[in-house]
Amino acid sequence: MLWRLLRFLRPQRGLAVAALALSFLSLTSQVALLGTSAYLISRAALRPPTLLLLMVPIVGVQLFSIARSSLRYLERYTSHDVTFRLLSNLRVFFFARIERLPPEAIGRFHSGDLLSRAVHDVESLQDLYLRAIAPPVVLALVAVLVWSVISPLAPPVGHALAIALLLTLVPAALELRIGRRLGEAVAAERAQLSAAIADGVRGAEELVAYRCVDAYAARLQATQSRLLRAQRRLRRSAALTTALIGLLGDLAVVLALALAIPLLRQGRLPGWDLAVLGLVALGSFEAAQPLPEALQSLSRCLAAGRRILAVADEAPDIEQEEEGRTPEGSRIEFDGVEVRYSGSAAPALRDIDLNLAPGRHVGLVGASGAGKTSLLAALSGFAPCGAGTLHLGGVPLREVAREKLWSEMALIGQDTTLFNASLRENILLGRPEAALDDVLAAVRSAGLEPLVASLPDGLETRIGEQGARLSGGERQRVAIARALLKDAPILLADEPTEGLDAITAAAVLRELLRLAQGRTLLLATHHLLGLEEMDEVVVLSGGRIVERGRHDELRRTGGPYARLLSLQLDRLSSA
Amino acid sequence: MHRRILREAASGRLLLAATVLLGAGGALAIIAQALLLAEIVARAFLGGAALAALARPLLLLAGVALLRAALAFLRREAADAFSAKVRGEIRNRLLARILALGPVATSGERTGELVATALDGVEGLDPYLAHYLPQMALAAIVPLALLAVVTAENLLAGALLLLTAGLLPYFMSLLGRAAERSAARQWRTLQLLSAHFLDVVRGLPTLQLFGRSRRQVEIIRQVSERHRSATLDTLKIAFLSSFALELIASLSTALVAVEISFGLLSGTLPFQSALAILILVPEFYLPLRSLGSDFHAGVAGVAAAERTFALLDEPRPPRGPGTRRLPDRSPLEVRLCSVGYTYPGADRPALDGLDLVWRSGEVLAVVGASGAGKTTILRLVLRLLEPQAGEVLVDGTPLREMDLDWWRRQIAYVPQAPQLFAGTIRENIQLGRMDASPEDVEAAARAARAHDFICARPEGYDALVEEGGRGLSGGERQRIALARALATRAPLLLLDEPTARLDAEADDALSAAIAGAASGRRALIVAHRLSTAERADRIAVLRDGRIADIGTPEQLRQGSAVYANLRRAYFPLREVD
Repeated sequence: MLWRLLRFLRPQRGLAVAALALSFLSLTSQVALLGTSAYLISRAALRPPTLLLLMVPIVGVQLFSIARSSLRYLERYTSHDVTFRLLSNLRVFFFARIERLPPEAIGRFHSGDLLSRAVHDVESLQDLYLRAIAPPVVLALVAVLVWSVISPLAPPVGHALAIALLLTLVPAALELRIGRRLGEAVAAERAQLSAAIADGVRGAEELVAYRCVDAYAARLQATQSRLLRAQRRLRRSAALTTALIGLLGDLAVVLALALAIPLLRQGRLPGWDLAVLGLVALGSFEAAQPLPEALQSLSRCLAAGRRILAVADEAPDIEQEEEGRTPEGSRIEFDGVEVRYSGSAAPALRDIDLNLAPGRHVGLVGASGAGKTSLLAALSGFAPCGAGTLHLGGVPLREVAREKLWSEMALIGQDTTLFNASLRENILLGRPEAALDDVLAAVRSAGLEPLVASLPDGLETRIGEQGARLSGGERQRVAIARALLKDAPILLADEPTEGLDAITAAAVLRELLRLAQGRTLLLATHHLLGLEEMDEVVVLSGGRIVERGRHDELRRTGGPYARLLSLQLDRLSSA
Repeated sequence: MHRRILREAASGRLLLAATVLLGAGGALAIIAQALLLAEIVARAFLGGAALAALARPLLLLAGVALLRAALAFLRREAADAFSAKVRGEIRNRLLARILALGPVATSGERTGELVATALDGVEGLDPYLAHYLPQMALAAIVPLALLAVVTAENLLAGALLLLTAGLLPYFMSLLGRAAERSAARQWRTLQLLSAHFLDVVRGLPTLQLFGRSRRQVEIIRQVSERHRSATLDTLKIAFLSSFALELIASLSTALVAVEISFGLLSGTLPFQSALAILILVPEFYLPLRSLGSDFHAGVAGVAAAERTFALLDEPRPPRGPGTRRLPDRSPLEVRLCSVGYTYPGADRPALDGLDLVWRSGEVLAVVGASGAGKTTILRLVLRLLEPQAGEVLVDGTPLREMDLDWWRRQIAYVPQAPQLFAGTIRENIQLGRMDASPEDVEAAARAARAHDFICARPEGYDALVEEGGRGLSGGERQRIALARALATRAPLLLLDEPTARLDAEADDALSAAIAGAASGRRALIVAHRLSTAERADRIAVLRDGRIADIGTPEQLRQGSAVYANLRRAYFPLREVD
């Protein structure tokens, strides 16, 4: 797993090695600064006959002190550079992979919001180098250096220090295991508190009306106390680890002195080296400080990596030649189609037979969950078709080249995805090579002119994250404008008037019907809006077609459609 | 802002003091460690002492190491305890505040924001409380203690430390300001660039439908590259301040080393003192360096916590200290006189000079287009909102003079989107009357047509309700809320019929339940269904915040154009054309 993740560093391996080397060298300079200083004062204490003897260590301390901070600066800069390059590699890899996912898988990931989580995971993997891998490697290098420098002088001291340095990995590893368990407990308590607060906020009116505010506040307090306790347990284990690592370093200094003093007495170690050993021991343990955090980052990175690769691995590894077929015309044929999402027992759609000649307008109605959206998703390839066959232009859908399939249809969905770019760019998505005149025509036809006039920079106004500046009706109109530009023969409209007030809904619907002239239209709605204009109404219930016919006929027969209608008629027109 | 946090943290000051004391103790341990180490080395090196002779200081040194570790651990414990206590108190007050904000503040999309503020906003204070605040005190105390020790050993070394330490804040602020300016410039670009990837991944299906997804790979590469170079430009300067700190610290270590070696040469400074100074010099700068890094984390958290304090400071809705109660079996006629109400931030009033009488004993239905102010009437009667103009009278007594607790006990309320709370179904029904007996609960559930589906569950009334009532259908939630209202046995029923479409069966069941609950009761119903409205004794038609028409269903059917408009079948397409 780690190796697979490390592969992403490969294009930057030169830079990564440089950053590691800089980190190691800056730590070494720190240790050398302390060691040389100790050597300097030890030699000075012996009152040498000439100052010249001290010149080398004097120059040495100056040099090391400047080297220490300069190398550290360079190391920070380089390692952040590596981090951002790694992030860029990860993003490109991940997107290139999910872009090749089967559409059915994209539909699945998209609906579960797995994509947003994967984005979060990709971003968190940027810690892989800086926080997770570099510190243990540097620690090991420092241990090797300390061993190879000190062992020739005082073998037992060298061995002991190297072992003690490596031993700091033990509490860090223990903390990793314990911390994970405690971290999960914190997450669980947090989720509970979050849910309880959300309940309380949404239900504030009832809590006030039923005089339960104080009781509920007490309940929230109790929930919060549990969270705080769990958090403190987690912190305690981290604090203990840090203290243990510090203790290990301090005891190593005691041990180094205890081992060195007899050598001194036996004349096997020059006296001035004792202070050097002590300070080198003290300084080298600085390498162990980032260790607990590093191991935690590593485990986070591995978990994130596993999730990302699980998504990415569903895509074909190598770019396949698009060898799909081209549909002839845009006739749509459902023949006994079944749609079953993984993880749900009942199929979302079954036994669907529909044969739609080009240009036909069909309304899909039914309660939410009846299968309207699944039917549209099956047609656009985003839903997994189990049994049955689905043909587009005489070609089985699964054999149609994806680009060809999607160029045949325009989707006007419940929630139009808007990108954080200008309004013009968002509309241009329909046909990027379209001329400005075409865009303006689309804006006019979709009824977007009042919006454009109200925006500070007109068409060039950025519409913000997720199109936050636009109302529901405006977003649907952008979708219509895109569809207008795209000029596809099949229009799929999924509740295009959901959440709009009656007048806006009617206006949007009118634009849609105008756009649909001469094209195939599948209009899913549970408001039964605009159905009298359709060539045929298909009533879905529990994933099956339970009734079909023209609006007027179905209204008279008194079946499921008439029932839906009577409920609709009972509504006061306040929606 | 900092002063504000300090005020909030006042209750934890003992723990904060303990943290600082333990930190100062840690500094003393470091001094002891340095002195012991210097003594051991000096005696072995210059005095030729044997290991056995040094056993005592060596053991002491090990003891100091243990003490230092213990102090470090306890210091973090105390800091965490302090932070947890303060955060806990702030959050408790915030939660109480949020619950009391009432329907205006907590409606709709603010839920997510409020939850985030109460959770993450308060959590964001942690680095400030646990690290920055104690570190600020320690950064003042510890260097001073070390300075005193070093100066006592060697005056010149102390002077060197004092001089460099004096330079530090100057450099820091100089670099800090430059970094801040550059960071502010870069910030917007960075935000845009880093949001891009999420934007594109979320929109993948849309991009694919328009055949635009493949070329995004190259765009992502370019944007990431721009992000990288922009960030590095910022960091180049931001890192300078830590560079300066470290340079000063290590340069002065070198200077002190040279200085004390001259002292040693001239014989004015004993070796033991020299070594102790050498060990202590890096420790002198350490608290300042940690303060630098804690500062950034602390400031980020404080910025995030601003929302928290803004919420805490929002004015409480004024509540008159009403005490009046009406005698039992009072008619409880509710009269709204020229009532006006505009929601904060709304561009037009919800109610504008509304006059309405809800007579004793009648079922009154309020109908009207959405946004006409129907729900606001219920909120005024419940006194969840105060009228900004006019007055609400109950049997001639102004509502604001009445004992609010008593008044609300006269009312059972079913809002349009009722909330179920975590707990059992029974507890949810008992919300309005905690002492309702199992028989009362069951009777209420039967009346609300909820008994059958409750009993269909293996645990029946003791089945647990998940967060927000998931696991129950919309219609089931509505009927439990209706049972909750009926269980209170309050004489007045306020009911906001749901506009959201349920499936056909649930719709029918709920309608029947509402009809059953309203018959033979005093009820004020905001109706969204024609059949519900027509069963009422009288219908009030609301338009633009006023009563446009009022009368029995019979009267309105015959003589009201406004009502006819509302009744019109829901096929606006042909009519608008």
